[in-house]
Amino acid sequence: MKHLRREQALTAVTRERFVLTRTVIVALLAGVALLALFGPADAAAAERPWQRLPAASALLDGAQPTVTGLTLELPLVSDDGAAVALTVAADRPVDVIHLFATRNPAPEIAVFRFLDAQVHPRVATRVRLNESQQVIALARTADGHWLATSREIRITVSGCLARADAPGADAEMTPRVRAPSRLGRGETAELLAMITHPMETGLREAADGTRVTRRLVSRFELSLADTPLFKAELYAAVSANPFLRLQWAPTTPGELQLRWVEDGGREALDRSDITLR
Amino acid sequence: MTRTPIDRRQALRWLGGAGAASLLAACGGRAPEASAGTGNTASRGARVVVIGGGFGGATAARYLKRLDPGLHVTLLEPAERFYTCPFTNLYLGGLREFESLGHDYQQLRRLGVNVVHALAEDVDPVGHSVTLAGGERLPYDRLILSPGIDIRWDALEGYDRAAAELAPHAWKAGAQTHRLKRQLEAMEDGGTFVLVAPANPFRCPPGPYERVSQIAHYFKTHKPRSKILLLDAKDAFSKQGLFMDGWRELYGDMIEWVGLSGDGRVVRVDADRLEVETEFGTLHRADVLNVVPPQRAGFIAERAGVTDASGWVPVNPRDFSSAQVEDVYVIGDATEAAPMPKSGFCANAQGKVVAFAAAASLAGDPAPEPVWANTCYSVIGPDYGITVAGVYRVIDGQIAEVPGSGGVSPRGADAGFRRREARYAAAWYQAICEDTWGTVV
Amino acid sequence: MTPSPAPRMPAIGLLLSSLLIVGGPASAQSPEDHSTPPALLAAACANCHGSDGRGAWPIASIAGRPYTELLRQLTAYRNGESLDDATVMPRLMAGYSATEIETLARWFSSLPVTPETAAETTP
Ligand SMILES: Cc1cc2nc3c(=O)[nH]c(=O)nc-3n(C[C@H](O)[C@H](O)[C@H](O)COP(=O)(O)OP(=O)(O)OC[C@H]3O[C@@H](n4cnc5c(N)ncnc54)[C@H](O)[C@@H]3O)c2cc1C
Repeated sequence: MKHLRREQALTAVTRERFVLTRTVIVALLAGVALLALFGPADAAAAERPWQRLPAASALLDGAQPTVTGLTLELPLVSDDGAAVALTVAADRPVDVIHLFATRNPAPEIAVFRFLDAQVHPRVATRVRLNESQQVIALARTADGHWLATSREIRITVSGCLARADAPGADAEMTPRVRAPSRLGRGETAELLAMITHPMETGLREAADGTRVTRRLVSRFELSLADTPLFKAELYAAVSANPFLRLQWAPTTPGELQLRWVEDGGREALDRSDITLR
Repeated sequence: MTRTPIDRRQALRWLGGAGAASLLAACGGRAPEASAGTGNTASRGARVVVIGGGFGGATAARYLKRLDPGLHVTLLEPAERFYTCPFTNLYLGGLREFESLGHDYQQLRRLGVNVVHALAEDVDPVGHSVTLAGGERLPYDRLILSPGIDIRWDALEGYDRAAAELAPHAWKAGAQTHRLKRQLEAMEDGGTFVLVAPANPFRCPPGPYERVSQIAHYFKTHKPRSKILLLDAKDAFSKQGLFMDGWRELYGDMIEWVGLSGDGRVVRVDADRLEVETEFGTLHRADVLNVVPPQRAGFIAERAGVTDASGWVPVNPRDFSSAQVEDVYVIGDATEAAPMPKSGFCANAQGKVVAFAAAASLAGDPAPEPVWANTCYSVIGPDYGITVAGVYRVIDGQIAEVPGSGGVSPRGADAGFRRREARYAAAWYQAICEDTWGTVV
Repeated sequence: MTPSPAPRMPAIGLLLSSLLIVGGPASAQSPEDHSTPPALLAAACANCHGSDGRGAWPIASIAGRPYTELLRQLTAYRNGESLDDATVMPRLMAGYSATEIETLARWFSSLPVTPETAAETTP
């Protein structure tokens, strides 16, 4: 999936002959009016979606996050809420990134834990978004400082009901991995991982009207030469056939292990050898 | 440029001819004379420039002129004959002659539209003018853009203009379509045709699936041992169940579809070797390779400042005016109009809504409440058609499908139903071309 | 049909205002009604049935068909009945209100069955 290119937007809006439309002016005036009504602090607070979402504000526990340094890439509009491409990235080392959706049946999307500097804080995945809403990312650095960002997305077709053509039970939990087997020490590369799984939300009705039991691949773990590098906790808002694209720069050769764990305990493991030049 | 004088009689014809005139009296209690005379005074002589003579632009120009003959409507379109993408798949399948898909601008000229065969190169939204490729500047009071799509040549590794000569996209009708047709004809029986389908949004959501259906028809009748592989960047596609039923019924296992979670997303094209590589590193070799690449709004939209970071154009739902630039309307594939699909049908429907909105705006009035309909026909085999339909309105400030309306043809319908939809598709093509260019096929 | 009084319009392009006035009864609003002018409402049908309601076989020509017949047929579609050989019509008509269907039936019944003059086709 191609990511939005911000440069383009900038060139479009900085064209000298670009005109402000009435709507924009009205919006600006409204903004001024808001400021006048609430004062700058309140108006700013009213804007922060992570303060309004209980799951996110509980995590922050009163901390004031920095609003720069963390970026979320999402399409502005998606025709298919069942699999929306999402990339989250921090411009500095972080321990953990939490993703939330403000208007899904449950707010949690995923938690990414960066356990070793060999994995960079940049993760792409595919998520389910039930309707138009905000997606929130919160990241915590090693010294306990928080970064936050959010993005508005418009969904035109709801994606929360799983597809008719789910993989057959025998094809479930089949991993697919793409990792370079040979690369230079400290060289940055991509690591792709996907596993076939319906990610049953527990909200879907079967043909006979009964609820399909919730069943998720809820954990993913990555290690190299017995060193844990990265872990993810996945919730129902992660699309069927969970997909992760990581950025890493391995510094030690050895066995690469990827492990997926279903919430019932079923596991899948993928092993390969990484050699470094 | 010659312009045919249009009289009031013709204007009334647009209102529904004599019938409408009497209706006017019956329902409005007002004699038609009350609304005749000078015609549309407020907008008299106003200049509307339309860029793009395809489904959206030609419709907008035609309806503006029918609505208010006093308007000066200029249509900019480089091609003297427009070939429609709709039904090019049937041409590939051998069910249609290419020439039957061409339309000229004679009828629009007769209606008084000033058709100029030139490329618009730039737009000055402050000075309200369009610059043509030759340097000439055209002033406008309202500008309507319907430039369709451009290919994003930088979006798929290895797929540039040179690659498209070897592995055509055929996503614009013309030389590319012929190239693909010739390659299919030259392919030996037993070969593999690979189609690479993009992620949403793109022109004509059912298009890639209709295309493989038609190519399967061609193979079945001429090269029955051949195979078709469809590599897709999506896990679900338009009318999926119906297409797959149709493929099984008509073509057995000739067509294999690989979706996103089956590693169907192509990340690199090697056009010289007719080879593609997927996300997880699988290589597929083709005998004929058709790449439908990622797209964006036609370049003039960006020059006019109406595109956003996605490369498409956000519009105000009610009248398809640009959300970013005043006095500019944008319609058709270039826009973000989801849930309305990027179809010729929708471009035509939006063209009408914009004709009414622009005419109202020139008269100082608000745009009327819009309604749009869409029916995408896909022809899977000569006697096998399927549809997806929708009625759209502005609901809570956004374009939305009217709840309870629309949907796809029933699964498991009988052969008669499928045959009728194939026949209707041909009649639809005739009607929409008449409604867009005034041409009779 | 009882004619309803013409709604008062602000200054508006004459042709446009007459379009709105043609919709007199339709603009006697019921909650589910929309104020789409009849000509624009009908334009959505042109895509398959031709600009002047004369479709190409086998799509029906609807220009000049009796009002009651059109009304009955469109209403049946709206109620989900698949009359004759229709395939998409029930899916489409489900998106229109009863009043709009009346407006459409009136509009198409008032159109000439054959092109009245050849104004557009002869220079
Ligand atoms: C294979 C295929 C099959 C399809 N089948 C169907 C179908 O069955 N039904 C359906 O409804 N839709 C179908 N479509 C989709 C349909 O072709 C498009 O949705 C439709 O053409 C969009 O109309 P438009 O006006 O936005 O663009 P277009 O019809 O592409 O028109 C744009 C025009 O603008 C001109 N232009 C661009 N830039 C400039 C400029 N700067 N100056 C002057 N002129 C310019 C171009 O030359 C072009 O003629 C199909 C598409 C494909 C590819």
